[in-house]
Amino acid sequence: MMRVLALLGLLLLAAAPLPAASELAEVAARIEQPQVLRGRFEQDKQVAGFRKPLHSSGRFVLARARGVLWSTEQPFASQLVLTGASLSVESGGSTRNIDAADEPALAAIHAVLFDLLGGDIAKLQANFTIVAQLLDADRWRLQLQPKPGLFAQAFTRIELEGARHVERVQLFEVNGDRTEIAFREFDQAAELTADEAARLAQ
Amino acid sequence: MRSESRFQRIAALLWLLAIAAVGMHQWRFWQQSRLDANVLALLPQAEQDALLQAANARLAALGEGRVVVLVGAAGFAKARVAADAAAAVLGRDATVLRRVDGDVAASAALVSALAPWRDRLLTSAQRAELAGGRIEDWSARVLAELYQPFGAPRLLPFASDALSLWPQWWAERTAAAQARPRDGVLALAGEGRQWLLLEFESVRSAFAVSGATPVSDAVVAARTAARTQVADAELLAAGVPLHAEAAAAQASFEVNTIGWGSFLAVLLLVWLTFRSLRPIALVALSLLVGCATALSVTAWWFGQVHLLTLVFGASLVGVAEDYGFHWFAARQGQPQVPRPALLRQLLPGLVLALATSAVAYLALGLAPFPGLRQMAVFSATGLTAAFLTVVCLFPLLDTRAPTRTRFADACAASLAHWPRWRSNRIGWSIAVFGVVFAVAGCWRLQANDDLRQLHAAPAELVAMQERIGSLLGLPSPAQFFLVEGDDVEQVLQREEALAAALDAHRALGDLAGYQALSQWLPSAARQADNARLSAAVETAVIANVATATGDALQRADFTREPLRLADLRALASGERLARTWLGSVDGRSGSIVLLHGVRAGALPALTASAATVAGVRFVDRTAGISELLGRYRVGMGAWLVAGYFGVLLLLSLRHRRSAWRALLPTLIGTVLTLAVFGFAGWPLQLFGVLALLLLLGMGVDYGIFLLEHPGDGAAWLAVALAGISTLLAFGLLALSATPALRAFGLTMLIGEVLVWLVTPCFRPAAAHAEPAQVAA
Repeated sequence: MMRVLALLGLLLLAAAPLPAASELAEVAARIEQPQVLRGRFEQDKQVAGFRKPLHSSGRFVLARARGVLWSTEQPFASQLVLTGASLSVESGGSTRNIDAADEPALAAIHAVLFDLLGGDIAKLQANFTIVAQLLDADRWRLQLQPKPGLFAQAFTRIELEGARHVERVQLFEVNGDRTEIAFREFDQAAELTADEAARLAQ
Repeated sequence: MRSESRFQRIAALLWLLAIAAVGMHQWRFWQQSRLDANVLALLPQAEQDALLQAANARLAALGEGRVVVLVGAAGFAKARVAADAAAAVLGRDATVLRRVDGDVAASAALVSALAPWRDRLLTSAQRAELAGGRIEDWSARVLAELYQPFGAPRLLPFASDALSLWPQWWAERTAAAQARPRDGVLALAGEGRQWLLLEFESVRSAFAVSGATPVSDAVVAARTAARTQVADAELLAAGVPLHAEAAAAQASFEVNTIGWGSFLAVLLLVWLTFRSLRPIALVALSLLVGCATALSVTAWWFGQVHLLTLVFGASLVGVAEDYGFHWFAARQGQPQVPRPALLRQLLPGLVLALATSAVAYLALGLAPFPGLRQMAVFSATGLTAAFLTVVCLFPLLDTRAPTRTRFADACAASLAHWPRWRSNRIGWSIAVFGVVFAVAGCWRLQANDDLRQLHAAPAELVAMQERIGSLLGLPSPAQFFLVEGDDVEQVLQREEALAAALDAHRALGDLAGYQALSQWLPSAARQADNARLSAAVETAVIANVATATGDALQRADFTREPLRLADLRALASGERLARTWLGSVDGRSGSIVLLHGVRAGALPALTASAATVAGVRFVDRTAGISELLGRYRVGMGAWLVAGYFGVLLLLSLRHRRSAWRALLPTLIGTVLTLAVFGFAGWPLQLFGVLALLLLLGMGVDYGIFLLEHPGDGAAWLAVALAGISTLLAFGLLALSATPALRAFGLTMLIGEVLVWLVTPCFRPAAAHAEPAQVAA
């Protein structure tokens, strides 16, 4: 009997995942950090009160340490420009600018979008407890559990999946809403175009 | 003779019973230690109307017991480590401080509790947007947000809050608090640091007479702990308990120095004069009984004894010894006279002395300051008890008269050598010089009615409080608007009118913000208007979104009843939200609107705008109290002048044309004291004027004694001893850290010295006559 228990213990130990830190470091090493990353996105949002998911698609530009341009093309055009200091939404010909200092909570949540897209694990760790899982030689998955505070009030968890880049983000909000974003057609660059730089500098 | 002895025994027995009762009361009193350290308790209540009183009481209650601690460091992580270390130390002793839950958890429950009235709760910016915005713009904005990766964080389902108005309303509600939830704690940035907010409540409500400072000690230990973890960590703490402890510790120290200091000095004088243990023991007995009775009666009368009463009362020791001195000086001078006969001789003089001193002390209670009334009752009772101890017990206990001593003889003999003022060239030169000095000094005299004279808060505590106040954006408890109305609805509508005026000033940067009940509970009229506005826009926008997404959507229903005061207060944190509501007082309803972050110099503009709103008045407690102190300074000054005329009239009845001899020294002493204050640049305060009133009551005594017993060495000896011990007591009071008591002590000290020195100069020319009969 004792032997069986000991054997069982050994088996359980073997099945336990390796120390998370090393896997997390491995994931961080796999994610590339280009100066500029462009691509397309497909987003499905399941919002409480809506029977059908809200589907949208468009293009994004992620400029390291500068910000994000999020251009929705379908079902209608709108622009989200996100920098460290401000957030602006343009749709239907009108633009709303929000100063990060005025709405720190909103700014903080949007800043996470920036970190999620870039797979910036070091920054995400400030607000989330992260469990990494290596799927094969290239692919990985991260489970983000918000630490108590602002993010715990907004999200129950966030899941990321990818290889050289983040390819899939799933957001589970506290109010039951769920957002799934798939990224593809990645294109790395060293510089922003003049137009992109101008929009981010606004 | 025999019946007299029996009467004496009965009196002694009755007084011993009273002393026993006082002793029992004292035993319980020191165990419960019902001492009041709140400076504001000293301030008058009678002059304020009921609503203002309620406002002041509410503000006092809000701050009571709360200790706010901010732990700061260069970064959030460091600040957190330091704060954890500090919190562990602060919460170590559960009998001292209790950690109070921050608002982190409470706010989540509140959000859902108020959700049924979501459509009735709008910010003024939202009202303007809803009233002025186009439906197409709203629809485009809502659709864009719906398709964004993150919409604005939603607190309610789309159908209940399509425009995401609710989170904005909450953002404005919590904007006043600079500290925001971060990783489960409340944090803020300021002064180039990250700060964590820790809130505690002091578990003890009473303050120890021992001068122990458990809360302050815990704060100091927590600061050390925080610095041990993070070298550059800073810990700020503020709260009424810290001030109260500092005041209690200071008062405890002063009660001991003044009380025991003058006690020992009095006993030393007794020893020098009588060289016998019996007088020391009996004088000590009369002083202890006097002080204990004073304390018991004051505690019984007022319910609580204020610390400053104790400090002031400690100086009583130097006054209450008079009766014992008189008894033993008379015994020493006439050892052959039987004790009952001697008492009969002394009694009229002692009664007169007690009456004048007690009346002088009770005159302090003329001003409607509860603190002064306590001091008046304390002093008058203490004197009476010391007097009764001398009269009832001394004749029975003092079985052997003290022998003459060299010190006593030298004192008694000194009167004959004292210079007398004569109407010659030297005399008039001195008089002219004195008048010039007095006029020049009084010319320079300045008045000061600053409230801070009542309160000697350590500068370090005040500085920390100011930093915490500006870091946290705490409202000032000293300046606020009082809103008055017939009922809740009218008060709320007036608050809303005031809020509109304040919003305009906030846009100009005149103030950072304000706290008002109407922010949580709009008037019923405003609520109805809000419900109408949001229903109109939201119904149209939801219809547009339904068309765009092809979904069948419908706006959720809201309660049709307005949010009422009772609903708000019934919530878990409702009482906290309604804390500025004063309720109905004398048929009038009222609330306070608190301001924070008022720009220096912007106050006049604020009050001018608010003055246009009906039922709103600005209350500046600091200025109000200063004005009151000033008014009473002038009023008591008039009483002082009237007192001089009254005393002159009384003295004239008995001493006819030599009455001036008793009064002039006190007058000279008073005027010269004022001149000294003028030259020294010390301002005249209400408490200085009160001291001059007391000086009149006591200073005249010396003159009376020398008029009653011209050339009597024993009377002079008693006067001299009384003078020296009184000087000691008030001299020690002049060392107090409380400016008011210091002013009182200093005035008495200088005045007494002058009166004491000047009085024998005006003794009658018959100074070399035979000692007169002591009996008056």
